[in-house]
Amino acid sequence: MTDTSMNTAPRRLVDVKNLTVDYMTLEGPFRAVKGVDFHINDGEVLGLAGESGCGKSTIAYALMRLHRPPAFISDGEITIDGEDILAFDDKRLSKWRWSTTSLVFQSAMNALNPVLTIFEQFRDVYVTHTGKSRAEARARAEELMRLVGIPESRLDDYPHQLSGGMRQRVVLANALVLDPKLIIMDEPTTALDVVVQREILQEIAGLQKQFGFSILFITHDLALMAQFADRMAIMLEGEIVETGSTAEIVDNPQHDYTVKLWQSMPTLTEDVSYGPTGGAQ
Amino acid sequence: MSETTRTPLLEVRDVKKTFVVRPMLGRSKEVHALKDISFTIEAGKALALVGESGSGKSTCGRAIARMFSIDDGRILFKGKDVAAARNPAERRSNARHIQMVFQDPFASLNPTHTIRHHLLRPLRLHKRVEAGQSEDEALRQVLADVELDVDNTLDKYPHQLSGGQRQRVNLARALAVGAELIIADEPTSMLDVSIRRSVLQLMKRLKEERGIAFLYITHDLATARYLAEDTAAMFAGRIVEFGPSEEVVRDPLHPYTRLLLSSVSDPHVKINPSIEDAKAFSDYADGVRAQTEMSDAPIETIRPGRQVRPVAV
Repeated sequence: MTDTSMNTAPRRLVDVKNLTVDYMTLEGPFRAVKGVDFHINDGEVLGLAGESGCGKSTIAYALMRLHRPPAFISDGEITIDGEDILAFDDKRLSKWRWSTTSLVFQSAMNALNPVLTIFEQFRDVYVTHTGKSRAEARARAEELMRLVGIPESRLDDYPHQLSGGMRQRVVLANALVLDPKLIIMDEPTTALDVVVQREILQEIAGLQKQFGFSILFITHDLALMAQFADRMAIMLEGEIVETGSTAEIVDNPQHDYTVKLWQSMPTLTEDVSYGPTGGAQ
Repeated sequence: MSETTRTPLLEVRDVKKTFVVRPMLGRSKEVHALKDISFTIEAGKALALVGESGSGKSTCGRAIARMFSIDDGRILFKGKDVAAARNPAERRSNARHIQMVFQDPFASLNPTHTIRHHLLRPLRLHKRVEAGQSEDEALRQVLADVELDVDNTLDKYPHQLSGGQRQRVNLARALAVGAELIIADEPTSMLDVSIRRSVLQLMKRLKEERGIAFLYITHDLATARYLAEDTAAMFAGRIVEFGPSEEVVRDPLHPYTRLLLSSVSDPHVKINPSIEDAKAFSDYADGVRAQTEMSDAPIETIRPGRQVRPVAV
């Protein structure tokens, strides 16, 4: 977004066309994602909102090519950083994963291996991808820990010794280890407390500003997303029903479902304060 | 009982609870989960307990439901100490009137039984089927009370219902036995956004139309304001601020309440994306927590119904 190159139009880092994902079930295929189109520009934060079961996590998995049977990407194109992701073979895929695109899951406890120290988890990713030495991995891990505000000494701790907020910071640092261009965040703050949630969101916003990676930010919390995303897409039953700038989605939502989502939570100021009928402030 | 000293439905007086944690290795540790907790709830009113996880808000709810005994203090239901129930009939009566609804609607229903079973058992156990009324009629009444489909719900299994419907079954179960106080521990936090409001609305209606009192445990100040007349903010086992929800939200007096409020998302305010800001917020949050935990001063009443605990300087 803040690109200072001569191009006036920002480059599309991610371009998804007609993405269709099916799950095979006993009753035949179930279409979880129904021909979805969206894009994410360089350095942009795209928020993807919807309820559980609407297919938003399925999209995240598709972008990382993580789907295993019975899930299949049955149609569509995914281009990330000019490359056709769906054409990658396994070898290319494992090299590409984490170095260009990384993923932050909702549950930080499950994303970390409980029997490895924090440093071993960094080293695993770093050495596998770069072939560098243990000492270099240590230096990189320390640098990242400083970046997310955790004392370097905690690198030798195990995940259970850290608080929930710290674990999510570690997962975040781990996603940054290879300087990816895109980070997919699937409900990164949902399992956290209100205050910690705010801390982590601040942290993510700060890191994004500093490194300029793009983010696909998935959550069901519209208010939280609106504080952070440049554009938002609203999903319902496998389809994106509305896309727009955050200001448009907040102040002038067009689709009934978006309006309904805004009205579904009481707010601190008014009983219903967002959407066209609301009078926020 | 004279008019001036009306007994509240629930009175919690100086309740203390300390858990002793005995790890497999290392020395055992005392966790002061509740320190001098006092509040009252009137019939047909709701009190919201807000705070972060570990603040003791769920422990407080569980203590009232007698899921464990307290170390000190008294919990009075309609003026009678719940711990003093001497015979099974009294205990059953307390259990009947104080019911809990838990956070996880998936874990709180037995997956191998139908909804009929879940609702019929409490009805039979507490002999709540009135004379001349068939069990089926009683069940239909309970379902109608929580706005569930009267004809199609009874023979379904929990997995065939949505999270919101399951939470309604949990509320129905509490209503079936004639609950007068429902302790709702984060009842909407695991539900989809679009149905949270309808469950809150149902609770509000039960409160206003049926006179059921709620202890609403949450970390969400916005829903606390929506449902509850009063809000108590808790941190580290203590109530740090107490007052009418509207006032607590509009004019918070304690730094910890302010911290909670500043963490509520406002879609019209963009987050300032700088590392310095992130650090500043984290330092601010840690500072408030330390400051709040340090203070041992008793809570002060500023005016009737408004209390705040002084902070250490």
